[in-house]
Amino acid sequence: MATKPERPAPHGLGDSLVERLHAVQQEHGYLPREELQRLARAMARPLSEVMGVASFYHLFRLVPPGLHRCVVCRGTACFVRGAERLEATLRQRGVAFETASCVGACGQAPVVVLDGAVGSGDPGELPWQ
Amino acid sequence: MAVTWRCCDATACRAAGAAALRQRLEAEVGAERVKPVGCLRLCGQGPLAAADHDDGRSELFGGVAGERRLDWAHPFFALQRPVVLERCGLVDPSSIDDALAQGAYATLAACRLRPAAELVEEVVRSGLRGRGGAGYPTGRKWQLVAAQSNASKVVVCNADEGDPGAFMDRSVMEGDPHRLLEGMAIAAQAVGAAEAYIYVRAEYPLAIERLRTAIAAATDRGVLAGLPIQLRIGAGAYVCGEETALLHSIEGGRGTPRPRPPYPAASGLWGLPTLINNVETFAAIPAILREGGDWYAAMGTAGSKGTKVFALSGAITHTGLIEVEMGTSLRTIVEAMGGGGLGVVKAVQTGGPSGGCIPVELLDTPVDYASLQQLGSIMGSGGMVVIDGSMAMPELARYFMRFCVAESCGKCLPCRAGTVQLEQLLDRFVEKRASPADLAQLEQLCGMVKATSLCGLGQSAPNPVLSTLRFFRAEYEAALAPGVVP
Repeated sequence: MATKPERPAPHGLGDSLVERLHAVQQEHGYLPREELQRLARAMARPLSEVMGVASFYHLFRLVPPGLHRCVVCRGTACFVRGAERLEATLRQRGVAFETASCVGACGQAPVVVLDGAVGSGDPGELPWQ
Repeated sequence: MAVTWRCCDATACRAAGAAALRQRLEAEVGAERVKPVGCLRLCGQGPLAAADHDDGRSELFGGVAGERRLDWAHPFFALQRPVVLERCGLVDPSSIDDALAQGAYATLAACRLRPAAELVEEVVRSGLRGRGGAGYPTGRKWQLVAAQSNASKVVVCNADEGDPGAFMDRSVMEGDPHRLLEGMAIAAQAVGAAEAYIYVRAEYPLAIERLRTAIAAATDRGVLAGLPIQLRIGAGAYVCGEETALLHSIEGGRGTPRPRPPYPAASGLWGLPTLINNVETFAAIPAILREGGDWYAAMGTAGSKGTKVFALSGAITHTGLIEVEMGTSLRTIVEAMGGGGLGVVKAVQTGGPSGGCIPVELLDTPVDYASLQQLGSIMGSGGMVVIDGSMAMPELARYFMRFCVAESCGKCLPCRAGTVQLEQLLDRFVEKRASPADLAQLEQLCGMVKATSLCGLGQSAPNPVLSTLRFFRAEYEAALAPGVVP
């Protein structure tokens, strides 16, 4: 039976499941099942708990991502300045995309993040036609 | 005549081509006369660069080729009152030497010679209220934590700025990270805490990078009075901005809230007494301790002291970051500073998904905690989105409700199921097939979700609906199915 270990003090990064998951995702690009099992054993926690945390947060991916990433910002400023039209355009052009609640670059609304670079979501400036 | 350039190197200007602008300037005057700085405020005209001449003149330009000459005398800049942002845009955020030369950590050093109780008292006198949204008096929170007898206490900074349309905290962290660290170190000394955490959302990679650099440099120089500050990165959950959810997330678990009391001041991170404030609150601390609580309290209104940073965006001419005295009217902010709407201004949305819409007729409302609350909105963290006439209010309400549906953590039923029901009802109004009974049910359900949800997310989720119902009820009535008379 796996039991929860006593929490050592002071609290280092290694004690935080969220931080360990970040490390796994940084290495693999997503959270492979075997790695989650390994993490559960290493931290002496049930796999259900590890899965529970991994699936709770929007940014953790349980399946491998595509080669390129396109994230559309759904912030209020982007919404007011036509993010829905941007999403429709991307769908029409067959581009798979994720969404973020707000990337905080409201001055450039509507915003799209391509492979980590924040840019303008003006349909005319998108790389796919 | 020699000139030194300050180039904005914050997220929004980077998106607009700050790197190309900096390269061009470096080729022109040499790298040593070009300095990267934090937000220069007028994000919508980015990338921005300020030219400081040897004779003291300063000019501001926008665009990769510097094609737009901007005017420092414009009300957008002239009406600002920088306190939290006093060094943002002047200091190189990656250089601790530059920060030290501009006075960083001097207040902390002075505070170390003062009794802790005196520091708390100064914050109480300043009248500072929490800038994260709820507006709890900061000094009282500090008193509560300071009064706890535990040997170990923790200071936590809430940098999970999740409200869509808000980028004040991002700008502080990207533009002047040492100010935040100094504020936290002063707080730790005042309440007797020996460790500190900053919880930043993962959507802010540049802020995370700048904080990492700043913490390493400050620890290396020994200017943090021995306080270890750890960074914890979120993973995309809006609810983690709620303090108990945030603490669960730092502990490494699911970010779900829990009922209060006990409040974190008594039992927070790992059960220890925890002082939790947001970025802007901590960033106001060094100035308050340097100039005195009375100096800060002299600004603002009776119930809302000091200054507040707002992120101005949406259908407005000048998009960007402003810091103004509390009590400044919305009209001054939108019409004078923001240069008016792109179309016909219909309303100003404050407080994000927890706030409401203030109609254009009420633009003379002073911005303070009480006035906004009276209008069914909230100060919130400081996002201010201008809505133009083309936006239908039921659609805007549905936008925020969808946000809450996606971000509800699922722990309590009123929020998990209630927001879904509300979204479905709002669909009917957007698609103009609602009945009078739907309108009655919408209002009733809003009241239920507000009254019975566990945490702030659910309790405030109906606010955008209630506020648009209050001021734009005709739009809901006009959306009733044809042939139905309310």
